Amino acid sequence: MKAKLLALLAVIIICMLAIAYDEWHQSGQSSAPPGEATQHFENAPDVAFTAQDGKSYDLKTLPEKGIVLHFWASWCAPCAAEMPELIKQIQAARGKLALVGVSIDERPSAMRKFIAKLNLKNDAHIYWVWDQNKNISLKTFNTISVPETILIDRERRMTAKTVGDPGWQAKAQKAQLQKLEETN
Amino acid sequence: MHAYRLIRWMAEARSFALGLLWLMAILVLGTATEKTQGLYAAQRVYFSSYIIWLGGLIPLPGLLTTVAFIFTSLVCKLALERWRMKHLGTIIIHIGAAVLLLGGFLTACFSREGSMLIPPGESRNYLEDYQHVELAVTPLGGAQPEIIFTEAQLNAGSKLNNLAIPFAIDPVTWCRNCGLERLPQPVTEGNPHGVAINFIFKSLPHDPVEEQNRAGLTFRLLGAGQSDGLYAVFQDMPIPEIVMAGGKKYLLALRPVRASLPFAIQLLHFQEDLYPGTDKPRAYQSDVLVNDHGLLWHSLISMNEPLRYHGYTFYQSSFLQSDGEQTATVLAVVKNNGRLFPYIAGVIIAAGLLIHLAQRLGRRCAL
Amino acid sequence: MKCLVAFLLTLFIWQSAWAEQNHLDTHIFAELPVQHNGRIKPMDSFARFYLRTFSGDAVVDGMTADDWLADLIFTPERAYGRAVFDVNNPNLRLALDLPERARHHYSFLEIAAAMEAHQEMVNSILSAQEKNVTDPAQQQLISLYANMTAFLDISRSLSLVLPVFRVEDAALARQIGVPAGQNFSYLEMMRRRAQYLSLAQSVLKYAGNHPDARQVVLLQIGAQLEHMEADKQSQILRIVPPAWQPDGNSWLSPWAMLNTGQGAPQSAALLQAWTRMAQAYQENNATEWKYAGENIFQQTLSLAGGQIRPYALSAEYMYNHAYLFAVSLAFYLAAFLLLLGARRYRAFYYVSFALLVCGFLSHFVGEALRIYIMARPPVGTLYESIIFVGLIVVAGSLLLEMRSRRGLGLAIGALSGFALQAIGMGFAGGDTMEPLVAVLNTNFWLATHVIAITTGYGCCLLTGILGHIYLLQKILQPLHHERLQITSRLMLGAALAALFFALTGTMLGGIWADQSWGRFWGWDPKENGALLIVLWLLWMLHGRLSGMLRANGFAMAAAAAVIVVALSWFGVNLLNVGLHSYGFTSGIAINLFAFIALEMIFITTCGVILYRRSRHP
Repeated sequence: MKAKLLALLAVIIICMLAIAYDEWHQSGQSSAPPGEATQHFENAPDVAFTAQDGKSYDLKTLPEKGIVLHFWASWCAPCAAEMPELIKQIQAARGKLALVGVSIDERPSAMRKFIAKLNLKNDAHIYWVWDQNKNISLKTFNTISVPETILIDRERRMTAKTVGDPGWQAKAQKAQLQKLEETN
Repeated sequence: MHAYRLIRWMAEARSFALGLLWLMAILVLGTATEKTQGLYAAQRVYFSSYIIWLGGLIPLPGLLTTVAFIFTSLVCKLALERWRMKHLGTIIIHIGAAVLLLGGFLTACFSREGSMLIPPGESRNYLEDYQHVELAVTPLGGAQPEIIFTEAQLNAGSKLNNLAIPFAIDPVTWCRNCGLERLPQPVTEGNPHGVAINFIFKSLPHDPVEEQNRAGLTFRLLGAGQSDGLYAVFQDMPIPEIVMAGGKKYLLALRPVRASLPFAIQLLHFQEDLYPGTDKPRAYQSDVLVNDHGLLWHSLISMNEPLRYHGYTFYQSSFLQSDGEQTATVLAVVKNNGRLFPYIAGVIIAAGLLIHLAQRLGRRCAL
Repeated sequence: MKCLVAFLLTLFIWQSAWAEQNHLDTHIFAELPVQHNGRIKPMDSFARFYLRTFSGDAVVDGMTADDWLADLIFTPERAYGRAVFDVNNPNLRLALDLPERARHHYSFLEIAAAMEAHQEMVNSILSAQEKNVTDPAQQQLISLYANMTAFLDISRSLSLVLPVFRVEDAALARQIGVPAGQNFSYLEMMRRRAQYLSLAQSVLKYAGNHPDARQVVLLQIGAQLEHMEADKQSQILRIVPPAWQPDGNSWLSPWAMLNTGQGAPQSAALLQAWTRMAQAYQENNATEWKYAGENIFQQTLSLAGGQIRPYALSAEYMYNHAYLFAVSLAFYLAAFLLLLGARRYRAFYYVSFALLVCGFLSHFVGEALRIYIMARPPVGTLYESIIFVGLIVVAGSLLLEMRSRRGLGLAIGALSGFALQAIGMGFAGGDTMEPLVAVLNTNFWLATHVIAITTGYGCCLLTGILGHIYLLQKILQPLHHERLQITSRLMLGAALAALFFALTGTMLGGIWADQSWGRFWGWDPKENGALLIVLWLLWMLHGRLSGMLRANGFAMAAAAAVIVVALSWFGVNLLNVGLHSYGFTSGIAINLFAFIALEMIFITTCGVILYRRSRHP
């Protein structure tokens, strides 16, 4: 008889302990949201090009901190809308960013006409390139439609790609461009 | 004397076997009807009841009664039998089983369940129970409490009134699951308003999927002066029914029964992860903020990882996607004070099994 | 059975005419990673999946799945004429006017022509609502059309890198800027699009009826370019890992990558490698093929980051080719057949034992490979549970045999192993390694609850089989008391083990449900089924203890346990209600009911015989 009463008591005590522990342990657990995974960026390839000023450059050895590699064409409507805004951002960076505008136009004359219409002062940080035989756009970067923009940071790694016109005045885009000027 | 003989009989293995057999019969019967009647209905009739009325006439013990019988039989056996050391393992197992059954009973009687549908950015501080509906009369433009009429009252069909509202509601037709039928010509007599002008409700059979039952009520409003007349409300009405009476506006709505929570939950963001190239879900999670009278707490609720807060547990149940809008999360909420008993019982039973195994290996006897 | 035949066929075909013509080692191609149905798999699995979907076979036209797929993507023009599509409904063949053949396999071109000829009929079926199409022939038409669409999609996957353009005229070639007299690809053509367009303008302006050779070539190129516009839809063969996605786990087909602007220098290099592989295939150049294949593998691996486990890909390739479960089935059958002769020749007993062990090992290795490839416990689907229960039953039988060396364990193991593997084959369609839905996607509970429950099923089956054996022994040879006692003891032991696992599994299931869905018990059909097994075993054991059930009754109850397991395992899937409803139904119902009926007849008959014997000894 004693054993049974003892057993009953034991069970009751176990239950009470368990409930007490559970109450104490509760009151809001939270699992921390997963942190952003460290991203791995690929290095930009070697791209040699001749700009409209006649000189030859290589993507990797440009003097500016960050590079905006932008594919466009004179016959593309979103490009026409996007270009002035993008240029404004580049100019606001005061030399820290370079714009490499690669045109996939059929004729360099179409490209030159478009650039002329932009009415730019001679900006040393904007490099206009006519992509003959689409060596840069299609062969190296597999780009077939425009506009497309690839952001390259100080270590010459490709950090982001935008397809289409994102609106370069927007906060997110401005932040992205800002990041290019910094070191990691 | 008779009581003692009854206890003696209950303690026998024969009674236990009898109880078990009947339990198995209920299980098979109940499960078979789950397909036609749906889970909730089968549960109500077979598994959560004390009496099952076979064919509506013959009373048979329901699951709760049967389990109570088995529990009593178990306790009687434990009390009456002489405890020997060599049976230690089995005794502990039996105690664990008793604790398990007790826990089950507590859950069946005292637990509360519901669901919460929270659109992104919004906050909710109540649970909804889709199994029952209520008619809510909400005075607008003020902090006055809502007046609730339960489903039982609506079923009874008598006039509904309350001191807090200046009018009375006289039900005309009531259906738990309604289909709307457009009338060939608008109703002219009885001063119809809103939906009641062009539609009537047709009673449909109860849908086994509870969320798909749409309740509907047509009623006469009395004592509201000019607003008196024939009205119709149904669950999830796109345009809410608002009535003017005594200079104030009242919103009338049929909705699933609500139970308020002592705090509010806001959905910050819902994320659905699909397997790439398929529409098979890989993971869901809701990023939520709990607002407990000014105390804020941030948490992430995902499949297999619920939020436990103040005795309530919130589980990621599913989600609702409306065209073009962002996804709303659906959380299942449970407040179950008997939650721990299965765990305690599990530990006790596991201990008992191990001890029994050890004893058997030690003795290598027949059983 | 089909798998076994296919396995044997593969051995022969290795030396077939096709292999002799071709010196290319398809192994390299077969292990290239591709994303399909939500997971990354070797090309071999992808090929097998689609070949089986289209033709119902693992081998077609003398080609293995890998050969067939390589042919399809590298030389699609050849593939369109191969008889690959299975049309086994005779009414459908009639409706489409397809010629009767021994194997009713038809080529893409034949079926496309047939569908074109009956366009109105086909369109009417395709545009009808799903629930209105109940005729099996019509349903097969819909699935045939879907198969044809998928086939076309896959065949155009690499068209952008295949060398399909050619300009012989040196002068014209120079004007456009492409190599003369050499095949070049769509991508190459697109690079010279500007030049081509300016030349083509002049042809468009020309209004006469006799274009010269030069103009003809330009028009042909134009036509080809236009024809390839439709290829842009191709998206099934996802071989390009994404370069720009932050979580990077949704791969793209080459065309999709190009269309959605997901191109990057890495993907350009990857496509280059595929171009070289296509070239090597067409030129039948074994060394180039090998080199290109390795290049593709390395590049895909580096592009995909940590998503690919290269050893898992080789493991899956091995798994696909080894047909381990079919092999185990063969061993089980052989073991059983030999056992029949063990009474006369003692040696047969030992060989049978060895064969059973071999079967078990093959079965076990198969499961181990599955665990490694899928990186989770192998008990997520109905198919997997059948394979696993088979493993448990055979393991249990071997243990049994080691305790009582009378051949009983061997018989049970061989027969049930064979039966379960055979049943399993019926469920082995499609991709058996699909990733699990969100609610099941947790390795801890799969490893504990599901394994405990399936082990419980296995032990319960073992108990049931022993029950049958006891009844037969009692009826046929009632005087063999010692043997009956042994069987009885084994039956009891198995029942206890079954109770242990079933109870543990059910409790763990309850705890999982409490952790994930908010309630310990939901009266789900599957939960009720598991509970039924536990209750039945409890009833059996308590009945025995209290004397309510004597030896015969206990054996009958044990035999009936098989029915309880069948109901709980398969029957609940028929109900298709509740959280556990991820099985599927149709033909199972009839088989299940037939099985239960047979069992009940057997048990009742035994019961009656034994009862009457006890009355009139």
